[in-house]
Amino acid sequence: MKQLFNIFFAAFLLAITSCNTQRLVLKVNDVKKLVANKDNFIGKPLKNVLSQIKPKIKYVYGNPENTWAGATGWTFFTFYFVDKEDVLKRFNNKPTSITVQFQLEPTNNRRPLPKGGIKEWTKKETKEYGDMIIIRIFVLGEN
Amino acid sequence: MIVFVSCKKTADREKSEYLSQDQIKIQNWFASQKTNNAVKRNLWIDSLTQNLLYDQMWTEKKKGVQYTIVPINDNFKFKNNKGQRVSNYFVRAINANSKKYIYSLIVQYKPTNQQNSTDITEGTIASIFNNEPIDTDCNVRYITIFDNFLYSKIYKNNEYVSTSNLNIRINNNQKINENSNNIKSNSTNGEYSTKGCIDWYWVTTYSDYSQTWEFAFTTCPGGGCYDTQDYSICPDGEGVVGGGGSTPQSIPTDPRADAQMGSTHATNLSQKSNFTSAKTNIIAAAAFDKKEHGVTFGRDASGNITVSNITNGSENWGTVPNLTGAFADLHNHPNLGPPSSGDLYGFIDKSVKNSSFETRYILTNNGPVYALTVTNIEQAINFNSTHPRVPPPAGTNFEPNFPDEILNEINEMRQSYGVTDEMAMAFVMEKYKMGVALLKQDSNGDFKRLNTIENTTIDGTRKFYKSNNCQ
Repeated sequence: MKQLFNIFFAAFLLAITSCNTQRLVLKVNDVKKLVANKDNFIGKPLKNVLSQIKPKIKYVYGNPENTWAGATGWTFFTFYFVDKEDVLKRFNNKPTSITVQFQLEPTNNRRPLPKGGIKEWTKKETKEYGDMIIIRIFVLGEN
Repeated sequence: MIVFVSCKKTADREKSEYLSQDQIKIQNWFASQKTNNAVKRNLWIDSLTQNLLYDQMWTEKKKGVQYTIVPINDNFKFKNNKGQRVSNYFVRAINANSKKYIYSLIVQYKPTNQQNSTDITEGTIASIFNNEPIDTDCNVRYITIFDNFLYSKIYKNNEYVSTSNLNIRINNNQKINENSNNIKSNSTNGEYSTKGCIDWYWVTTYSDYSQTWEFAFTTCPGGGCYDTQDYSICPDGEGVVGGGGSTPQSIPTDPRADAQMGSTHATNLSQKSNFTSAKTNIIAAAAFDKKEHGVTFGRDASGNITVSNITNGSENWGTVPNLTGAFADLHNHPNLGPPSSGDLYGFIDKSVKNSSFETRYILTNNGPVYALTVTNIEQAINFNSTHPRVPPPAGTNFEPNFPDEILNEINEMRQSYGVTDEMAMAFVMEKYKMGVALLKQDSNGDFKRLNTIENTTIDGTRKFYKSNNCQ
């Protein structure tokens, strides 16, 4: 009985700790923190970065299916926190974007994103692409 | 009021161990320019090096480039500006940070005011190379170490006014008939003729980027120079290092001065049997193993085209071999990708190292053939220093990449605006003044420059991109 109590207590503590874990990016302007802490993300899977981002990702494009080392831009995703329409309108004042580049997977069979990108990044995408290993990360623009 | 420009401040100039190391590098570089059995060429190099005044050498730095400047003894006579009151300087440029060699040439300095000294003040050379104001008015001519004209600059009221180079004007559907033995025939509408003679024009680009074309002279396959008042810029057929393509080697111009000339050279080489044979071999090799393969084209001492062996790369990368007298190379991409950032940076490296190197062909898998050609070597050098490549992380085999800003622009064009890879590449090459043009072979076999223009909708709320390729 005592052992069962200890297990429940440990699980309770873990839950509290997890709930209170501070994410690095609470608002869009925080994304530069990802670059400042890039050593924590380089060589690690994409899901690590995604778990640090609270604001909603509203537009993403990239080439996860790339198998060619000569590709300009390598293998990458670019994330925006504004709609595609806003990205297209703000051509003189670029909104914040995070670009993450990945290790080459010469034999990958990953599903390409639709041409022109996607409007929402969901758990489904995280499940599908979250294991891609990051080699470079940079942030541009301002929301 | 007469303003005397101060003379070479020999005593003030830095004399350090570093300069003596520079001297060794310069001497070694001159030695490397010699060619077996090219007696006249080698004698010229010996004579020039004996007239370099190393004790008056100095260095200048600007925008990431370090210039080592060695005055040349007045006793050494160039045909360029012959009889004129000029001073000559050997200039060697290296990357100020990496110390990598960029280029070497001769600068001829001619003050506009006859009363002014022909010696130049420290800092002037670097400013001239960057079109920045200097403290005097002058005419500056850049020539190769073999006395071949490259281009000239004018300064008035201490400000940069213009740069002039020699170029040919090409009519549509006409090609230089390099095999013709006919001496000059009637030229067409004042432009170059179709029987082997070429009309050359002074192309002057002003500081506001406006341009004028003025007839300079005509060259023909038999040699000689016609209809000119300035024979110092005409060929005498001796000791030219430049060249490439099918243009006669004695033509005294920077063979890469403009994309039009680069297109002509790229087209002409692509029609030669050496090229078509190498291309066929690469296609066959790639069809067999789906890998990258490369080959280099050069010229021997007699000006004949030489071809290297074909190298075998992997599915993702390849190398092109070194070859004496190299002026072009060709490699395949195992997909439809146009020239990549790695191709571009590698091409700039090669071109600044070897002033004769002018074309890089990229053969896609059953798709278009592209070529890169240098249009402005100073811009290319500047781009290399202001927008340095992002090297691939250790342990990866990606090619060098563009810096964040350019890469993001390319990605956005492709993904958000549906622009093709070749359009995006052509656009950033022009926008960021890379000094290199992207060419594509058309159905007639001619290489044409790709241009992409950015525009906004009438209401100004959207931008869009449009191809504006050369016809």
